[in-house]
Amino acid sequence: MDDLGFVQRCINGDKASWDKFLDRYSRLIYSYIHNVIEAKSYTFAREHIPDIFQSLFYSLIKDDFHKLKSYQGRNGCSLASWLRQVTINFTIDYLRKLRPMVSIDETDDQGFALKDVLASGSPLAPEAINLEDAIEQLKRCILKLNNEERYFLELHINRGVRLEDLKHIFNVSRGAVDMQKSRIIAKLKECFHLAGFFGL
Amino acid sequence: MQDKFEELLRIVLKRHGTKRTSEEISHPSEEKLVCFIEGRLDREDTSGLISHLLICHKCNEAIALDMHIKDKYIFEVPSELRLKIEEMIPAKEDSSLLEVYLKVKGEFLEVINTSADVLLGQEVIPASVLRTRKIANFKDEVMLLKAFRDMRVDLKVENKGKNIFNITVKARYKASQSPVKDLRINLIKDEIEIESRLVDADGTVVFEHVLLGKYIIETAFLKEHVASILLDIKAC
Repeated sequence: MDDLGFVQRCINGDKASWDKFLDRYSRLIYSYIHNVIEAKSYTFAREHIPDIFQSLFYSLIKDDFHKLKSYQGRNGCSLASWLRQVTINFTIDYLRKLRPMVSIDETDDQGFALKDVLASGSPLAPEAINLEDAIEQLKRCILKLNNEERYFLELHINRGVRLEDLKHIFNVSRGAVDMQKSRIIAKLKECFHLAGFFGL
Repeated sequence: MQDKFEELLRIVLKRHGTKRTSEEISHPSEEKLVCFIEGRLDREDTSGLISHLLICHKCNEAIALDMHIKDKYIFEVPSELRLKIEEMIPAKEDSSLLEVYLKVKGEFLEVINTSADVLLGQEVIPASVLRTRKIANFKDEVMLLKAFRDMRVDLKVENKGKNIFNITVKARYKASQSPVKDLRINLIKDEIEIESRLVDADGTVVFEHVLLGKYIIETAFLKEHVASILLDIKAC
């Protein structure tokens, strides 16, 4: 039975199908909640895992299974993959609501302190004033890239996604991903140098 | 030198990258995000999604997390937590779903899988018996029968050629064999209701010129759902 038929059986309230659903997917969902929390280093949120788990299942079934009905299996998307993404999104939203309770000593994943780079030992430390100019110029160079190139940088450089994982997103071989990175960096360096910034 | 440049890039992207998510932005579905990560979207959809991802921190974060934590650790669900979920789910023992999977082979319809009985000549045969007899192909039309509560529903799929079909749904009460009245039958595809009809005096509705694809046929009285038929017709 395909995933869509299976989901339809669950929506129709078939108990046997729900037993199978829990057997197949509850561990996946529970594990992903754990792994999102660990990936974001939100150790304080571990005690909330049971509540996230229950709330997520409730969100799937409430309003006459509205969320579960939104799964259509388009483009070969499997139920397992869909549930994985639903779990990640749900957990992120849940954690975001917890954020006001986060200690001020916790790392802000969005705020990046320039001072961390200017701290001693950083390769960029001595050129504080020129650094701001360099940042502004590099920003202008990045904006000259096309959307796909900019997103490549966002995922790999900013979000730390491995090149090996990027090949599926961009539908190319690993070699092509490496070449794409080299090409983008070369483009940016050329733009950077043309603006008079050297030494990097 | 490469590391210094990349470190500077990282600073710029962190500072000027995707913004905090605005509540007003509409976000792509989880299905679309998954297809994007797995490289299943076409060029146009990929391009559109990337435009969104360049401005949306929330979706970006979700994608990056998906890639970071794939195949990470597996945790067992505590049994008391599983019990709580089981109590939450409104499941019942009786199923009101009929599934029918058909494949078109020229002028023949092949029954791939179904939980219904199949009319073979004058004989009504469970699908499992058909498989035992290695009978699967039906010329021009296939008739399936399924009991839901006190009714019997006949589903006829006629192959009109060029991947076009007529679907006939007929409902009768099991005991009296009289046609069911006031039953509404909806033809739904991709969550969109394509047609909705009340049965005629013979308890019948015909949907004409139906194309290949996955459909849900919902049968219901005014305030009560009776049954769903998941009908999937594929080309060979």
